[in-house]
Amino acid sequence: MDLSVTTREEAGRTVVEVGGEIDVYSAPTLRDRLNGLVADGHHDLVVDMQGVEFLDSTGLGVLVGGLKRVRTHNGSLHLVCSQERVLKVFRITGLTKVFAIHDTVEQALAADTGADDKA
Amino acid sequence: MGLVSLRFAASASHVRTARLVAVTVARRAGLDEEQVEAVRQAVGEACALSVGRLSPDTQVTLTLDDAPQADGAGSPARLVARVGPLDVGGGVGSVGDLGLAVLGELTDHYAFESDEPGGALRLTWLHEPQQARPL
Repeated sequence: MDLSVTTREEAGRTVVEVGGEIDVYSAPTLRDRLNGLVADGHHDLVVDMQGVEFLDSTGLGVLVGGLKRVRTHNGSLHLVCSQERVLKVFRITGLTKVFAIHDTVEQALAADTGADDKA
Repeated sequence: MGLVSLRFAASASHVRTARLVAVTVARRAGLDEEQVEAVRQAVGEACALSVGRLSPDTQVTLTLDDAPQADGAGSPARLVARVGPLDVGGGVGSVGDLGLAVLGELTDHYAFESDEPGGALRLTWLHEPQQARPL
């Protein structure tokens, strides 16, 4: 499935709902969307990846880039992901230590925006 | 089962096709679902690495070869995926790439082969051959 990215405002944050496959082909689209959001002043992001079917290292790089970018604005980037297939990629790259990863959007919205500063 | 080979222009848009071919061959060879997912991920990473280093007018070749009892009777079957060229001048260790870092976790063995121009990544999975099943 092709990449889909939709955004909405919820509880003072921007929820970025991502679906499909994030790979070497589609990752630039996600990067452009995240960069655009930050440029427009959306500095507290929740990236909902529950609809993501595949994630490669290029996609991971885009998420790391997004995290760095929001942090330069004292913002936050939380992830929502409960699928083992996608979580495994974070685990084997050690990025579970870098990202705050939640099971649901509600949990991500309830978390302190500073919670992703644990790295 | 023999050899499956896919040749494609070095464009990121074709990497998904390569992953789908690899997954189909891995399932047909009888790998369990966890290994099939590892094949999907690792072949995707290797192809992404290759297309990222080549101009679009060159071609990437993915070959998949399943060898039942490759090392004699009673030995595990072996699925080998080969992706190249990579155009890695200083060997695979010179590529400081996140994709490479995950290959060790996703395969039973991986190696950089430099016997052909541009070299290739060789990814190996061992599995039980009797699990082979039709699609």
